[in-house]
Amino acid sequence: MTANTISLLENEIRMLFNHLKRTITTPSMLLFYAIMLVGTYLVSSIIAILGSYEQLFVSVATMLEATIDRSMVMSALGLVSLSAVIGGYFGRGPSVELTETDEYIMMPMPARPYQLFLAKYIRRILRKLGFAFLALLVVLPLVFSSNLLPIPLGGLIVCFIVFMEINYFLGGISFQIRSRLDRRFKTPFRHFILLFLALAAYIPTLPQVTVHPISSLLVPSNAFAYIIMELTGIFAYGLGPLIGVICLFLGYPIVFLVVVNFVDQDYYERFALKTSNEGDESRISRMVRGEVDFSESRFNDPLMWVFLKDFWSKMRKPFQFWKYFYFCIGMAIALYLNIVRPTWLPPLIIPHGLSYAAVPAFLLVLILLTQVASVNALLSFVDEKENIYLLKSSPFKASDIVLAKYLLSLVEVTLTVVPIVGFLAYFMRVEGSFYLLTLVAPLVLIFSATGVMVGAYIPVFTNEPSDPPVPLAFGFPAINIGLGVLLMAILATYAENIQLVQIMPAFVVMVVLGLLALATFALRSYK
Amino acid sequence: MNSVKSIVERMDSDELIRLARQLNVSLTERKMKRGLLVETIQGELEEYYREGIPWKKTRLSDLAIQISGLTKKFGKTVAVRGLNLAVRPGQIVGLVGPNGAGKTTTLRILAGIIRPTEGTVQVNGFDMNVHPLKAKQRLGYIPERPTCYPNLKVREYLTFIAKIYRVPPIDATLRMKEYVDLFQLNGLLNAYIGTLSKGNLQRTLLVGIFVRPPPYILALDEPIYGLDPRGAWNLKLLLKKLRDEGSAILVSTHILEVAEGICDRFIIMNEGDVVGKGTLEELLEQTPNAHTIEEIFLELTGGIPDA
Repeated sequence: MTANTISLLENEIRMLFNHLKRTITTPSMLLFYAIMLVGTYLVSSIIAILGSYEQLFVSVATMLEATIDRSMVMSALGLVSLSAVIGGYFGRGPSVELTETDEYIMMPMPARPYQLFLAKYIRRILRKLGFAFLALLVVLPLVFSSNLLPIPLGGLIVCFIVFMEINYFLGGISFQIRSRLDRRFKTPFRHFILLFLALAAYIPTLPQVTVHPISSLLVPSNAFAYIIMELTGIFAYGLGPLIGVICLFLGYPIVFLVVVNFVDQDYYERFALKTSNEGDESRISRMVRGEVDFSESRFNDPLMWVFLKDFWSKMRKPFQFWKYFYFCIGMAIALYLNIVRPTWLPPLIIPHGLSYAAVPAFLLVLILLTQVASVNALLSFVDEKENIYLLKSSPFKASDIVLAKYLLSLVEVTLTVVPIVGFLAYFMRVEGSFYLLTLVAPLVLIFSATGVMVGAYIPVFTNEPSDPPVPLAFGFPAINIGLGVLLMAILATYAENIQLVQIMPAFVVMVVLGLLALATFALRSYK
Repeated sequence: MNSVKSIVERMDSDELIRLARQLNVSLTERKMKRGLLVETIQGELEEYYREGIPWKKTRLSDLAIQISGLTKKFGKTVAVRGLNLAVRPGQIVGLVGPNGAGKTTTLRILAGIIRPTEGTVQVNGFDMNVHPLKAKQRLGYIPERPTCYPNLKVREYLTFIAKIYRVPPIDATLRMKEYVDLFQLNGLLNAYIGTLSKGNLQRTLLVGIFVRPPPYILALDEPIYGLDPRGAWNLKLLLKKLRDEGSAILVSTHILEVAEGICDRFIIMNEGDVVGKGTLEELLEQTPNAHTIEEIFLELTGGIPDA
C-alpha cells in the first residue's frame, strides 16, 4: 500500500474510533447502547429460560430434509448472488458508500479512487465485524440453551459476512462492467451482457450442476451452502466444512481484487451525478409520477399538506414506483396462491408433532418481517434531511407533523407487509396461523409509531438529521422486538379470556399514543 | 525566516514541544524555560531552512488553470457549453453568474470530481484526465456547501490533509499555527468538526488548504459563505496577498461586491454559456448601459429590470 492509502486508512479508522469514543462519552448515546445491548441480552436470556430449543432445531432439521432437497438450498443461495449481480448492474456499485463529504474532501485530493475505496471498505469490514461480535455476545444465552457451539456458530457468522461481502463485490463488478460498456457503446444491445452475467452467476447453482460435491468449488454461493449443510448436518456429505471454507475464502480476495482493480474515476462520477441535475430514475418512473403539483391540493389542513408533500416527494424517487409495483404483483401472486392453491407449489408441511412448537417461531417471523417493513417509518423523518428544521419552523403544530409522518408510514409499511403476510399465510401453516396473522395489524401500528418516534429523535442527538446515530438505528429494532414480545406475552396470557378483545386494543392505543407523544416532544426540543 | 521565528514565538507549550520533537530537539530537562526552548527551536529551524524556505522557490506554470472547450452534459441538459478560461499566476478571476449558470459544475470538473463531456482541464500544466494526481496535488478546492467529517477533530483533519498532500511535518506544524491564528481557530483545534458552526467549518476547510505550501492554485466556490465580517475581511486580504505572491485563484461567487473587491478579471456565465469576460473596464465597454458590476451582471444575464 502506498503512503496515501495508509493515511486514508488511518483517517477512516480514526473516525471510527472517534465515533466510538464520542458514543461512550455521551450519556444519552451510552444509555441507548446500554438499553440496546442489555435489553437484547435480557430478551435472549428470557427466551432461553422459557424453553430448550435443541429439540426444535433437531425437528426443524428433520422437517427440512423431508420437504426440500440439497439442490434447493444451493439454488436459493444462488439467487442471492444473482440478485446481487442484477442489483449491481442497475445500481451505483461501490459508490453507494460515498458521502457528500467524500465528494468535497476526498475526491479533489491527490489520491486514486481505488485508494479511497480500499480505505472505506476496510472501515466497513471493521464495523461489520464489530456489530457481528456484539450480536453474537447478546444472543449467547440463546445459543447455550440450544446446545449450539459458539465457535462453529461464530464461524458460520463470519462465513455469512464473507459471503455477503462477495455478493457486494459481484454487484460492484457488474456495475463496473456496465459503466465501461456505457462509455464505449450507445446501442441498447449492450445490456444483453446482463443476461450473460446472470447466467454465469446462476448456472453453477442449478441442480444438474450441484449434484456433485465438487460443485462447491465453482461459485461462492455453492461454497456457502456447502458450509451451512456441513455445519448444521442437514444434507451433509460428511466431508467437513473445510473445503467450503477454503473455497469461500479464496473467492473473497479474488472478487475483492477484481473490484479494486476496476475502481476508477467512475467510482466518483457515479456518486457525483447523484448530486447533479440529472437523476438516474427510469422513464417509467417519470411517467408514473407525472407532473403533480401537490401545493395546489384542495386540502388546507397542515396534516394533509405534510402527508401529500411526503407522498409526492417519495414518488419522485426512482425506487418508490417499484414499491407499488411490488405491492401489486406481490398481492396478485399471494391471492393466486391462497385462492387457487396450486399443486406445483405446495406449502411447507410442518410435522404434526411440531405444530405447537412452531408457533413461537411463526410469531418471531411475524415480528421480524413487520420490523423489516417498518424501516420506512424510521426514514419518514430521516428523509427530510436538513429540511426538518425548515419543517419545524413552519407554522404547523408539532403534533400535525408527527401525525402526518405516522399516517404515511402506516400506508408505506402496510403496503410492504401485506404481500409478505399473504405468502406467509400460504407457505407457513402452523396451528392457528390464520388468527395469528391478524397480529400483523397491531404490530404495524406499533412499529410504525416506534419508527416515527426514533426518527424524530435523530436531530435531538446529532447535527446530521440524515444520518441516524448507530445506537438510535439499532435501538429501533431493539424497542420493536421488546414491544412485539410484550404483545405476544399479552396474547399468551389472555388467550383463553374474552377480555383480550379489550386489553389488546387498549395496549396498542396506549403504546402508539405514548410513542407519538414522545415524537412530538422530540420535535419541540431540537437543538 | 523572520516570519517563521515569529510563528514559533506565538506557539503555546504543547505546540512548542510537538515542534521540538519533530526537530529532534533533546528534551531531557524536567523543566525548561519557555524562552530557552523557543530560542533552541528557532536555532534548529534556522539550520532546517539553511538553504532557504523551499516553497519560496516554487513557481507555477504560466497557465496555472487552463480550461479549453469545456462542455458538460447531464443527459440532455447542457450544464456548461464550450467554456474557455485561463488563470495565470498573480491573478484572481471571478466566475459569476445566476443560479444554475454552470459555475459549480465548472469547479467540480476543475477539482477532478467529475469528467467533462468535451474539452480539457489543465492544472499547473497537468491534464486532469491524464495526470489527475499531479493536477490535484497543487489545487485547493473549497466547495459551495462547506462540509467535513464530523468525527474528526480540527487538528486531526489538518494533520491528515498535510499527510495526504505530503507536507513535511515541520512545515505543516508551522503553517498550521500561522493560519489557525489568522482564522482564529485556536480554541477549536481539539473540537470535533461535527460540533462546529458553519463559519468555523469554512475556516477549518480554508486552513486545510493553507497548510499546504504556496504558491496555490485555488478553486473557491463561495469562499465567504458563513464567515463573519472579520473572517471575510481576513480572507479577502489573504487572497490579495497570495495573488501578489504568485498564486492563481478562481473564485465563484454570487456576491458581486466580493467579486469586484478582489477579482482582476471576470467570467460571467448564464445557463452554461459565457456571456461576458474581461476586466471591469472591458466589461463596461461591452455594456454601454451599465455603470457598475451589478448592472453589467444584470445586463448580461437577462437585462436590467425596470424600476
